[in-house]
Amino acid sequence: MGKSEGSVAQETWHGHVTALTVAPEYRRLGLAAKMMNILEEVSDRKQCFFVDLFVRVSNEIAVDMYKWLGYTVYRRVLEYYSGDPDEDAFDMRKALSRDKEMKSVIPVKEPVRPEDVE
Amino acid sequence: MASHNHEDAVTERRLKPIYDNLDNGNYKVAMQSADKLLKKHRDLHCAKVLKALALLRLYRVQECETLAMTVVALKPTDEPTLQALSICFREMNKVELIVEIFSNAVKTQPSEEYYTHLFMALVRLEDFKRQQQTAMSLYKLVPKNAFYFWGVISAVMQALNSDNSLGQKMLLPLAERMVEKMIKEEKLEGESEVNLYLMILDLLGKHEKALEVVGGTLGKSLLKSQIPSRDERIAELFFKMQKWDKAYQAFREMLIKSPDNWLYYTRYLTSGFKLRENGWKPPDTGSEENATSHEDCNNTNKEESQTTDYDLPEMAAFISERIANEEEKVREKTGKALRGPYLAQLELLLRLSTQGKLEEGPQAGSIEDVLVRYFGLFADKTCCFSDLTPYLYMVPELERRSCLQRMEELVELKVNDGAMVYATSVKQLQRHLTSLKISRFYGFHDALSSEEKGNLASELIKRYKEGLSFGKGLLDTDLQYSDEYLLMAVHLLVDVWHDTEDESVLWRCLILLKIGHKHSQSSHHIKLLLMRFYCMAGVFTTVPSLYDGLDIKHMQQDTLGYNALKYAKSLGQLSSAGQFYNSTLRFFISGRREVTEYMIASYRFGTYEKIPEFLNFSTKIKHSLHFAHTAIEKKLLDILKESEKEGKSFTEFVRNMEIDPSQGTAEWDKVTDQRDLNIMVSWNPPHRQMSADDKAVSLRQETSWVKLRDYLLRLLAVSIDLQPQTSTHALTESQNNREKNVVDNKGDNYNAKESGKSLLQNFEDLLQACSKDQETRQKFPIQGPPTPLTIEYLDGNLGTVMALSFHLVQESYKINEAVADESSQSIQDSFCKHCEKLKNTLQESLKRSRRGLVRDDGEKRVLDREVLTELTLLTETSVYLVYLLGIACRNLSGLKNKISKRNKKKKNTPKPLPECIGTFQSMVEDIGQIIAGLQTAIRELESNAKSLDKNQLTLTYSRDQSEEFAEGESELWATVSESYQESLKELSELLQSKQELLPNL
Repeated sequence: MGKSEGSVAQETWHGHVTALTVAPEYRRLGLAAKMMNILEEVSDRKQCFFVDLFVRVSNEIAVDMYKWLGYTVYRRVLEYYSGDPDEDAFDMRKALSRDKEMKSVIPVKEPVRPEDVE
Repeated sequence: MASHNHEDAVTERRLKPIYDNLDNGNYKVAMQSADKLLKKHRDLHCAKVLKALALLRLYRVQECETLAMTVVALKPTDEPTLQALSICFREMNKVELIVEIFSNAVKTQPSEEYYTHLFMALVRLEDFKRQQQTAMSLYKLVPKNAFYFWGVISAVMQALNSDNSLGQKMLLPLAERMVEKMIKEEKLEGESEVNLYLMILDLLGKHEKALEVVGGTLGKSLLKSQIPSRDERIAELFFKMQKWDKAYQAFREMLIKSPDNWLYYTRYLTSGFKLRENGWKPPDTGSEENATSHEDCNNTNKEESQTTDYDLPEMAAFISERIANEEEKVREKTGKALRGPYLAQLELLLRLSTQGKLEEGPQAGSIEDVLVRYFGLFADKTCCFSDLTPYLYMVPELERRSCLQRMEELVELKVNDGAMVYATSVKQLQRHLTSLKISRFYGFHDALSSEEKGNLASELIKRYKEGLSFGKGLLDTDLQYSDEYLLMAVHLLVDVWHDTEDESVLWRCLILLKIGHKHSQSSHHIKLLLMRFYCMAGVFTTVPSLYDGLDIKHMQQDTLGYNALKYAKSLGQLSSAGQFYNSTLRFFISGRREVTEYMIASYRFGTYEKIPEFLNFSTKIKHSLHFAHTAIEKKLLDILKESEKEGKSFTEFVRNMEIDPSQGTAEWDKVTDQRDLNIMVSWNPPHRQMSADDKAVSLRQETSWVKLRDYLLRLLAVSIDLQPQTSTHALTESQNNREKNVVDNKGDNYNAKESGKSLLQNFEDLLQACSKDQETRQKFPIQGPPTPLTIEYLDGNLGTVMALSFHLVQESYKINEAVADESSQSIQDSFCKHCEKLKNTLQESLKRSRRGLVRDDGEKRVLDREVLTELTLLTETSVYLVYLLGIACRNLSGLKNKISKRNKKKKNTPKPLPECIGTFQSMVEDIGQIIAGLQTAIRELESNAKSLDKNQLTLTYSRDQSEEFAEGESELWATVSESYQESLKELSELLQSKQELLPNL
C-alpha cells in the first residue's frame, strides 16, 4: 500500500510506502522486491523526488532488504511504534531520477521525535 | 467590508471559550458560558448551536434537538453557525439536517464553500441524484473540472444503485455524454477523468470505444501512471470483447516481458483454448505470406502451418521457451527460477485434462514428470504445496504412490536401518514437509490404521522438536520452520480421535498446541486451532488473549470473528462475551462511518473509480450476518444481565433499547457472509475439505440460528407492551424524563397483540423447521466453521420453553383484557394447559442436563464437554422465563383486582377467581423449585471443577512422557479447572440475582 504526497515546490513530493507485507507462505520468493519496484516505477512516473518508508529498527530482515534495494537510513525516529516498550523506526529513503543530486537522501544525524515528522 | 470583518473577529473572540470548553469535555461550563453570552446577545445563533452541542454531549438529546431546530428555522447563512450545526447534526446522526441547512444557505448565499458542504452532506446521505444537481450548480458557479466530474460520477453512482434498466438506458449514457462534451471542448485535464470515462464505457459494454480512448491521444497524453499499463488495458479489452486472436497475441507479448504474471498466463491460455474450440484460422495476411506459400507450392501444408500457429503445440512451445529462459538463468547463475512458466505448463495440462483431451497434449503421459520436476525445483518453498494443489489429482489414482515416491526421493531423507533421519537443513525440512502435505492430500494418511496414524503423529512430533533447533535465532514475529510438523501431527490425532472417540486425544492435542504456541508466538495457524480446541473443551478464559494475539483488525472482525462469537456466551463467560460484542460492534459502526470519510476523500482527490468500491464495501458490512448476529446477541446479553438491576425494570430496560418488533434486525434477503472459512490450514484430501456446498449449508445453519435469536429478541420486546400499562409508569422522575426522550422507534401500524402473535408463530415454525431439517445437524471439518447452537437449543427443548412463556404472556394479556368473562374461557383453558406443559418441559430440560463434570467411560473417566453449554443455555432461558412470568403475573393480578372490585359492588353473588390464577400460582412455585434445582446443579458442577486437577491422571493418557509435555499437562488442568469455575460462577451469580424476581400473585 502506498501513496504519493508532499510539495513539489519544497522538493518533498515523494512516494511513500504505507505498508508492505507478504503472507508467510509466500516469503523468500522476491515478492516484496517486486512490489517495491512497482511503487518506485509509479513514483518515478509521477515525478516524485524520492521514495520513503518507515521500518522497525529491530526488523533486520526488512532493513537489510531495503538496503539491498538501494535504500539508506535517512534518520531515526524515536519511539515511532507504540507498544510495550515503544520502538524506534528508521526513516529510509531512495532517490528517484528527478533528484539528480541526491539531495533528498542526505542523512540527518540527530534522531527526531515522531511529532516532528510530517 | 472592514467593519464586517471586525464584527466577525469580535464574535469569534466571544465564542472561543465555548469552543475550548467543548473540546476539553467541559460541557457544563460550555453551556453556562453560552447562556451568559446569549443574555447579552440574543441573536447570536452560533452560541445557541454551541449550547445545543453541549446539551447533546450531556446526553440531553431532546433539548439539544429543540434548540438546534429553532436556529435551523431562522435559515442562518453565517459560516460559524452552519459549521456548528453540521457538527451537531453529524453527532446526532442526522445528516439530512445538514443537507437542509446548506440547501437553505446556498439559496441566499451561493458560494463554492457552501455548495461543497452541501455536496458532501449529500454524499453522506447517499442521495446521488441531488449530488449530481448540486455538482452541476456548483460547476455553473465555479467552472472547475472537479465539480463537473463530481456530477458525472454522481450520475454513475445513481445508475449503479438504481434498477438496472434505468441506469443502462438513461443515466450511464448521460454520464457518457457529459464526459464526451468535455472531450469535444478539449477540457479533460487528468488521468482520473479518463479513468472515469473508461469506467463508464466499461459499464456500458462499449469496449470498442474504450479501446480507441486507451490507444488514442487521450490515453497517450493522460494515462500517465500506467497502472494498469496501457498494454494491459488494451489486452483486457480484447479479452472482454472476446477478440480471442488479438487477446492471445497481446497477452503473449506481455508474457515475454513479464514471464511470472499469472493473470497473463490464464488470459493467454483461455484465449488460446477459445481459438481452438472455435476452429479459428488466421485471416489471409496479404502478399508476403502468399509469396512464401508460392515456394511451398503445397496448399494443404500451408493451411496446417497456419492453424497450428494458434494451436496447442504453439502454446506448449511458447511456455517451454519461457521455461528454457528460466533454466538458462539458473545455469548462468544470473537469477533464480520463476514459478510462473512451470505452473503455466501444469495449467495447460489441467485445461486439456478437464476437456478429457490430455492425449492431445504435447506432454501426454508425463504429468508425473512435470509435477516431480516442479517439486524438485520449488519444494523448499512453503508455497509449493498450494501451488501444486490444483494439479496433483491429474495423476491417475494408481500412479499417485509412485509419483509421491519419486518426490520423496528428492527429499533425500532416507531411513537408515529403521532409525529416523532428521532433516539437516531448513530447505530439506521444508522439502520433507511438502512431501508430507502431498501424501496427506492424496489420502495416504486416511488409509492408515488408527495406530499407524498415532505412530506417524509421534514421529512428526519428534521431527518438530528436532526442527526447532533451526529456528533458535528467529524473532518473535517469525514463524518456526517446523510449525507445520506439529500442525500435521495434530491433524493426524484429530483423525484418530474421530476414529476411536478416545477423548484423551483431544487433551493431548491441546497440550501439543500449547507447546507449539509457546515456541511460535506469531503462528496464527496454531493460535486458531488452539482456540478452537479450547472452545471444544469448554474452556474460554484463554481464548480472549489468543484472539487479541491474532491482532485482528478492521474487516477481520467480520471475516474471522466467527471463531469466537459462538463460544463466548455458550461457555458461560458473559463478561468476556460483552467485551467481545462491543469491540466487534465498534468496527461495524465506526467502520461504516470511516468508509464515508474515505468516499468523501475520493471525491476531493478525484479517485473516482474507488467510490463505487467504497460504497460496495460499506453495503457489504452493513448487511453482514456476523454484524446482525453480534448486534442481536449483544442486546440479548444486556437484557439477560442488566435488566431488573439497579432499579431498572425489565420493561423499562427493554423499552429504552428502542427495538422495533415489527422489523427484523437484518434484511434477510440481503444478508452477506464474509466469514473466511479457509483461514485454518488443512492438507486433507479434497473430499474432506470445506466444499462450496458445505459453506452454503453452514450459511443456512447460521442464518436460521440468527433468525431464531432475532425472533426471541423481538418477542421479548413485544412482551413489554402486552401488560397493563400502569405498571410501566411507576417510574422515578428522572426515568420519566428519559422515557420522554426516547424516540419511539416502533412503526406506525404497530399492534403489539398482532405483532406478538405473528412473531411467535414464526418462532415456532422456524424451531420446527430446524428440528426436522437434517442440515441442522451437519458438522464440518475441524478447520471449518463451528455449527451454531441450534442443536443444543433444540435438544434442550429451550425453544419450546421460550415459546410457552410467550404464550403465557400473550394469553394472560387477553384474559385480563376480557376480564375473565365467558368469551375468554377457551383462552383460559389454553393458558392452563400451557402452564402445565411449561413446567414439565423445563423439568425435563433440567433433568437432562443434571450431570457431573466427569463421567465414566468404560475404564476411563472423561470430562463431559457438553454439560457447560447446556447449563448456560438453560440459565439464559430461565432468566428470560422469570422476566416473562413477571409480565404474566401483572396481567393476572390486574384481572384479580378487577374481579375483586366487581365483587365488592355485587356483594350477593361474588364471582370466584378464575381457575387460571390458581394454576399459574402453583406453576410459578414449581418453576421456583426447578430453578433452585438448576442452581444446585451449577454449584455442584462448580465444586467438580474445583477438584478437577486431582483427577487429571485418569483423564489424560499419553505416550509422550517428556518434561515439556508433563508441564503442559498440569498447566492445562489448572486452566481447565479455573475456566470452568469462572464460567459456572458467573452463571450461578446471574441465576441467584434473578431467582428472587419470581413473581407472587
